Amino acid sequence: MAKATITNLRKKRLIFSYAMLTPGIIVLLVFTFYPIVYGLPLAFTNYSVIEDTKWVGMANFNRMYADPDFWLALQNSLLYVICVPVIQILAILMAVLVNNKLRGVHFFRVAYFIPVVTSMVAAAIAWKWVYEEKGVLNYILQALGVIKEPVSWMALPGIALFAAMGVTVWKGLGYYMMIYLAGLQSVPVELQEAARIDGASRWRVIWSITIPLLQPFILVCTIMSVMGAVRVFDEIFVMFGPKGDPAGATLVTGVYTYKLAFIDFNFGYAATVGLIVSLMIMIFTILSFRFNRRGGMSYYE
Amino acid sequence: MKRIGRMTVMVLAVSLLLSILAACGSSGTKQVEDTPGPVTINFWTISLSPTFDDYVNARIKKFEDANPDITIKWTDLPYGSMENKLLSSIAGNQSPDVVNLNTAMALKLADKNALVDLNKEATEEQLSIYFESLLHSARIGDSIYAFPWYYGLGVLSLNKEIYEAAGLDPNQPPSTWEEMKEHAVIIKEKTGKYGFVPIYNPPIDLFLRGVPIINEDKTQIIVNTPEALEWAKWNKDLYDSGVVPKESITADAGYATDKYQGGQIASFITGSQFLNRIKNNAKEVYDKTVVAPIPTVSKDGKVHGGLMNVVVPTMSKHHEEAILFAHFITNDESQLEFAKVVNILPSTKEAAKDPFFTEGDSNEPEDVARRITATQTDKAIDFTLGVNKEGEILEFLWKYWKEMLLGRMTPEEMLKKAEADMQAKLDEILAEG
Repeated sequence: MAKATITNLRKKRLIFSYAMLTPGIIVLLVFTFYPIVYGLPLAFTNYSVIEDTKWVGMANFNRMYADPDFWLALQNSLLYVICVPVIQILAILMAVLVNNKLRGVHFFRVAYFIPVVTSMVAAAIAWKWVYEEKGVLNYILQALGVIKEPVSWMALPGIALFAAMGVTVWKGLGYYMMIYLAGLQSVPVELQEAARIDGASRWRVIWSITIPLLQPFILVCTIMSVMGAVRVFDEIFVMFGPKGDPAGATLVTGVYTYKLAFIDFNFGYAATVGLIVSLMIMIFTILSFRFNRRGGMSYYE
Repeated sequence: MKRIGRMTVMVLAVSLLLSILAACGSSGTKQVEDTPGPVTINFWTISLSPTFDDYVNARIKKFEDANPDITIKWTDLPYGSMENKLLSSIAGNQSPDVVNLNTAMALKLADKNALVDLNKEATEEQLSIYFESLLHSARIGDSIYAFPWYYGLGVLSLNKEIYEAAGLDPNQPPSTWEEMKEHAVIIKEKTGKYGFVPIYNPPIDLFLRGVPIINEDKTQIIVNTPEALEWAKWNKDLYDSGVVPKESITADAGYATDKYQGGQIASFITGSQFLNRIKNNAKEVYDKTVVAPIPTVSKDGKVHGGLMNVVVPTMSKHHEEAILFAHFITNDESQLEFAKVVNILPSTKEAAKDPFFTEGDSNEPEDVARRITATQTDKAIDFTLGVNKEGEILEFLWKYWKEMLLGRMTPEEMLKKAEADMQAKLDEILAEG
């Protein structure tokens, strides 16, 4: 009797769970999985929306191999990963800072989070002004005496990509800070207190207790931000246009794919580039999960 | 209580599911084509709303009154999203019927047989009202893919205040590029501001300077000429000298407009139709503006006019009505009225003859600009290569031009490399057929 009730209950719960999952799955199927599956074969065609579509076999892959712009874009996208450690380290430090029970700490949490909810397009336009020759950044640096002549942050090929990274870091910090903050609040206070009692300094506690316990969060955040960095699009597109100006210095794979598809109407080739980039991200993700498995997804075991 | 809650959620989930399925199903059903009776024409324009709502709606009303069976549904899109939106509608079998495109976009779609050939489907009479040179901008072979609409010609705007602060006379505007440079040097020295921001458009700049770009047969690229080299070197020197901002390498018209409106540059070249933007955004700068003809470029006085066209996509289900409206919105009457609302030039012969364009003696910048540009209409051209995938060919020139400015290649190397790569691309495109 009791057993029957349990299975009954379990059945109901199962049905309920699936019912709750269904709408989400349908949306994903229609708007995510269907386009992905539909997009795969495009990589082997010359699809251009309007003209007749022909199967071209590996032609797009051969073209990609010989395409200097693709390699340039890939190189820039990989270079973009530099901003990942910067974001993560700053985000952890910020999370530790706002994890204090200070008065007004809520204000800082909100303030740090505001860039995340700001529209990237609006933010990128504002940053464009900051980086201008007569922009705020040059003004401040000149006032501080760091530079004598204004620097054209957006026009110098060696600097432009880093200028874009600055925007990505600024925009992403709050998001990762929030995740780390949640992580920090799940770290048992006893451990930290015990370390303090044992005479560890504040930094020592952060370094030896907090950060190791944050490891699962660091893993997730790192993977997410590496994926984000390789796929970066909005800030580059808004600040430097579809060709990754100046002279391709900020051309990244996301923008290059867009240009191929929506400016050259070369959807087939664009799909090829997109496919290869997503494969690379996938391989990276699988590898990083593998390597980090021993690190432990849960520190209570 | 809990039970009821769950039931409600279940019902909601199921109904959501059903509605999604229903939505998927309905989009698959095809509409019946060529139904007699009332027809709705979808008309898409670029960046006309809300500034010209009154004008466009009045024209639509007039057309609808004369053709009670036709309803016009007007949609305005920003410049940047037109191509995208149009492509996805065509792919989704929901093509608009009459679309406003610039020449480059029109040719790109014409390449792909997405536009109605007006030489075949429009009447001789309909085609006869336009200037031939403009009608031919969107021509490939014997086909004409667009009715020309409005265009603007460039004028030079000077900020009187900055000019005077630099000890220059704004009533003696620079008439050549060499003078532009001389003035810019003086302005930089005296006021610390930039004289102007060059907005590079290598294909057009070179073409106006007598570089053919492509031969008559459309088989050979010609960009490596002495004229081209001279212009390239001149620009490289100008850029290196710091007389113009380094940012000009990525500057577009929007950037220059911002700077001019902000009173940060002494002069800039803009389409006469955009002067009202300055008037609206920065009245105090507009009031200090003196308008002059643009510095001369070509020996035969040719000037570049960015042309807006109206096309009918092949996928439209009502070609006849669409062409009727496309012609109506670009006819003499419509264009003349439009020109009275904003500083554009009409592409039709009769409208251009109207005394409105040449009369008057006010010093209002917009009026001066209209009188200046009205004298140049017979010299206006819109540059196109007239071959498939023109953008992909010209891209090399754009790219190497910038690399030259950045010092990654010399002007000589730039032209040589551009010519070689553009030729290779052209050969590839011709081989594809």
